[in-house]
Amino acid sequence: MNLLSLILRSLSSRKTSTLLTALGAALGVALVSAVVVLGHEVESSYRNSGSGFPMIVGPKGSPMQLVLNTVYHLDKSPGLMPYRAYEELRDARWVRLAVPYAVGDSFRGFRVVGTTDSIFTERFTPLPKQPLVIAQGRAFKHDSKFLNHLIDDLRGKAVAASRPSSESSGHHHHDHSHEIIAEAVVGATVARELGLKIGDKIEPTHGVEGGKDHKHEHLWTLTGILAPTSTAIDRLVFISLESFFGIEDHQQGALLPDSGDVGLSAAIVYPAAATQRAIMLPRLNKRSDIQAVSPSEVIRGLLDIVGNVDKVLLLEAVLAVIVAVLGTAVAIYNLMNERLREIAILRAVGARRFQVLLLVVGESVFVASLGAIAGLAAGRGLIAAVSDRVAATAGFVPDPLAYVPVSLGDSVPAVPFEVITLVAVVVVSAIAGLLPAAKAYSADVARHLAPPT
Amino acid sequence: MSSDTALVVEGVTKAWRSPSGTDRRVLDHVGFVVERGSSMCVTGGSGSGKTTLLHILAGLVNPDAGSVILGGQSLFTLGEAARDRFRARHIGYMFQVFNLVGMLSAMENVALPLVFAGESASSAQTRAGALLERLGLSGKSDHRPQALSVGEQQRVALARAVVAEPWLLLADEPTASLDPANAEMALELLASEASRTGASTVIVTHDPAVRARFALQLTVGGGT
Repeated sequence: MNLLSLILRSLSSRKTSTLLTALGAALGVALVSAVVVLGHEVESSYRNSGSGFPMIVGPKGSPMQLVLNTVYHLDKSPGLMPYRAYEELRDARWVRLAVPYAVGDSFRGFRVVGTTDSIFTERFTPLPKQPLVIAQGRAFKHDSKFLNHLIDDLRGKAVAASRPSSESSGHHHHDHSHEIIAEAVVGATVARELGLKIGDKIEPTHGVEGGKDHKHEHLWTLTGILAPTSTAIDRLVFISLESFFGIEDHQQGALLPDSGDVGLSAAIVYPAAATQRAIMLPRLNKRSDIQAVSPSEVIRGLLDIVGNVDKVLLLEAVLAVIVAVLGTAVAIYNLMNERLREIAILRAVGARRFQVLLLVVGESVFVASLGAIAGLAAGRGLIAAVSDRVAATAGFVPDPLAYVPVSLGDSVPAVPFEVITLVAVVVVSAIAGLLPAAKAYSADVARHLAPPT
Repeated sequence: MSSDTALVVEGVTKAWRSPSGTDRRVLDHVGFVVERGSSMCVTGGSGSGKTTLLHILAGLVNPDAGSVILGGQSLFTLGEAARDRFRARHIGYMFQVFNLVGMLSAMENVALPLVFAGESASSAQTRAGALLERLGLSGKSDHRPQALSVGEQQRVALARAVVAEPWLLLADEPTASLDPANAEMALELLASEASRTGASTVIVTHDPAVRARFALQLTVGGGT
């Protein structure tokens, strides 16, 4: 038996009080842990996604809305840009890769993106230097010639629609839907949550808001399932652009009669060289039909706003921890009067004042640390529990086991935030524990040894 | 005084301040010598200062004047921490109500003075276990005090007082909580343990039957 075992005995002799006070500390620390880990995951995920999409070109409007809609698949689409602008980008020498995105459909709550098979090339890196990986099956079939033909046809429709008497145009169109190869590749979460397997038929509906949507008359065959990326891509259904435009409903909504063109939601542009992004962004933004944004800049602006909210939340959480840790000391202090006799006995059989002080401070530190460890685990558990909900509402999958380092300065290696939290809890609880410890330290041994009356 | 002298008390004076603010002197120039291995009983009426004297002998209460020398060491010239350690090593204290620590087992209670004296946990437990066995409590060493009979608690309290083989064994009304049979056994055990360890013994009692067993007696409150 030593001082530590005395501390453990003392605490275990008051199990209910010990557990309740530890629970208080655990709740405070769980809050801190959840806020810190989630904040870290928001930031790293948004930064990663931002840098995985160097430039997004879309219709004029809110840059934030364009980024949120294209990268995170949140918010409504800000509108349509001319398909011609995408073609210019695709063929421009300064562009390494331009990926078209047509959005507006959903399949059982998951958004559908019409695009080309360029997303399966190594040049499409939604996370820095990480191309998409098809975990099962294969990419959907994409026929660029057929797409071009379809686009031409739709442009004719757009021009016709711009004329007052479109019926008299003499331009004839035919239904392409029977020629379309309708195949789909889904993100990992879509496959998991809907229990999809290769060969399944899926039937996207028009609209992502729900309520007003209606089913198309066509079925897409699932040909591939993507490996998880922990980004919004996990929650997407990709189909070929020609199968997207081949649908009559889409054709109507995608026509831009004013420009006689077909509309596209956005294009993700990978410049051939990083410097070209800075040169081309202002040039493209001078145009009246499109805007070009750098997601990382937009995200930085967003994180500056969110970061402040984050700091307020963190401050509140830290205050909650301090209150909880003080609570453990107060709980020990409140029991101190009943324990002075026990303290006096220990002193009478040889315990020094300092040992008694350590005993009480040790109890405070032990209970608070026990709560802190449980709270740190609970915080991570909380992230795991809300992971799906966050994925659905914030467009990324938080990792409950993410390493969250805290930098203590340039010359010191970063340490996990759990270590900092534990050290802080130990220090605060030791200081708080001095309050009841002082009472034990200064206890009048002779008076408290007297038989109880 | 001889080199065997275990306890020398000289001119010990102590006054307590009453709630009305006046000082009441409970010990007035008390002095005595208890040779090594000898025993003495302290008697006196209620509030006469018997327990205060015991607390002073244990180094728990500072006297206003006078000195307590045990085995050549003046108790009150030591700093408080050194005095606490000295007490753990050389002074055993048996309380009237045993004052066992409820959260600890019988063995752990007995081992406490050894632990506070700096002995390793395993050695302290071994010595405590051996002593409990000698006192007939080997089967009860893991029991909490609440699970022991009054007589057993008394023996655990005695074991705790003598486990460090102290130079001085103090006992405050050791028979007050016991029936006559247990009281008799307690006194026998106290005497045999003191004899075994060579400790000097000072017992506070108001029981005439107990007092009659001691040749050396000190009466406080009404003169020595």
